[in-house]
Amino acid sequence: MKYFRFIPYLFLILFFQIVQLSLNVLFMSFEFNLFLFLIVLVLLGTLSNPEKFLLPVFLTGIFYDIFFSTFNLGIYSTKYILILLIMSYATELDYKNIYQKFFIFSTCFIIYNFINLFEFKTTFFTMGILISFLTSFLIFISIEKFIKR
Amino acid sequence: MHKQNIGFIRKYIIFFLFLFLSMLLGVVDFFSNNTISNYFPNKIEINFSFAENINFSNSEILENFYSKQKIVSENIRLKQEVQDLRKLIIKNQELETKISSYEKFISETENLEFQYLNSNLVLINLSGEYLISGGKSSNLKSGDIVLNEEGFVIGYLGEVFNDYSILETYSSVRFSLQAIDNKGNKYLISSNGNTIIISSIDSLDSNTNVSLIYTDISFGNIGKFPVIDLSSFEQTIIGEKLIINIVINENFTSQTNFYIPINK
Repeated sequence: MKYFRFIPYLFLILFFQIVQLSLNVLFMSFEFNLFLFLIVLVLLGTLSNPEKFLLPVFLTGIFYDIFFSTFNLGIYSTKYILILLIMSYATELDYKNIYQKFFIFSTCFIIYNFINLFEFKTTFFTMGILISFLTSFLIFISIEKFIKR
Repeated sequence: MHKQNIGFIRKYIIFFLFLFLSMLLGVVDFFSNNTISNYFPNKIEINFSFAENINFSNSEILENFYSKQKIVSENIRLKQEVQDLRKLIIKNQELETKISSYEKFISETENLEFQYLNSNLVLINLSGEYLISGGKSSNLKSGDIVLNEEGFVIGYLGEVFNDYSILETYSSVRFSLQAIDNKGNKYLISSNGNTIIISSIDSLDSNTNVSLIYTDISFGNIGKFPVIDLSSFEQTIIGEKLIINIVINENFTSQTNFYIPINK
């Protein structure tokens, strides 16, 4: 039975993934976007034992690669696991400084948007993305503080 | 302390194993020409129209209550009737916009020997690609061209799933389409994500002025459809080759109608 414990996590992470895709449609007329799924991934990495989310995150990435992407299988799961790994390692190092948090979140943001950055899309390099990034960072900081309390 | 270290190492070994597995899958998929990533979409069907199938009017619970608590149930029934009517109004509005879109499309397009499948935006993925309705269940295949309401080509289907497809638009760096003008000169349309690059395949005279370019059956397209009117853009001929750069200005919304021509 303990081997199926990951299933509720899988559905929850999948749900956030679908919500993120719906948000993309909702914000398509604006330059602004909310990186909800990135926040979820980063928050999972800050938890005490993020390795229990590895399989659900891996499967979510595979699911995304199969049904919503034209890229090869494994690209998105690699991206997601890398974010989880970076956040987990940063948490182990016990980062507290806001600048450190900002740097780590920026790294995760770059990994998350690696394909858009790699393709040099003008739609990505806008002021709106900077605002989106800052908004997502502030949401992450607020939720992290709330969890720590 | 020793136990903590072992736990730490074990944790990151698991992380790297999953990372390695993901990368391995990516490599295998790349060298097997996307066989693995295409296997599941061909077998599993995801239906995006689930919201339309929910019907509130035939609820059995309401019928049971009707005999016992007449007033309450009547109230609920009326509320649901209002909900149904609201749904009908929304549906009616959608149909009206669809009809006006069809009317506009029919008045603009010249090729009426084809059947046109109406499609809409479903989702936008994380790399900014558009997922539109219509897939293998509607006899669509990869490479099918997609038109806008004015009848101009806006892209083609990159990957086709059962109920939806991924649209390759001009903003995709993988975009590549061949076109022909009225004089029979061939052109290659590609994109760097920000600008459309149109270059002639054949040698052209320096005084050539190209206007409309079309898709053609000779390039594997279904028919002749206008791609871009080049008359309003600066045309430079370098070494007998025409090169035109056009800044991409895509403004699709969730209400945008796409049309995919298929054989009748």
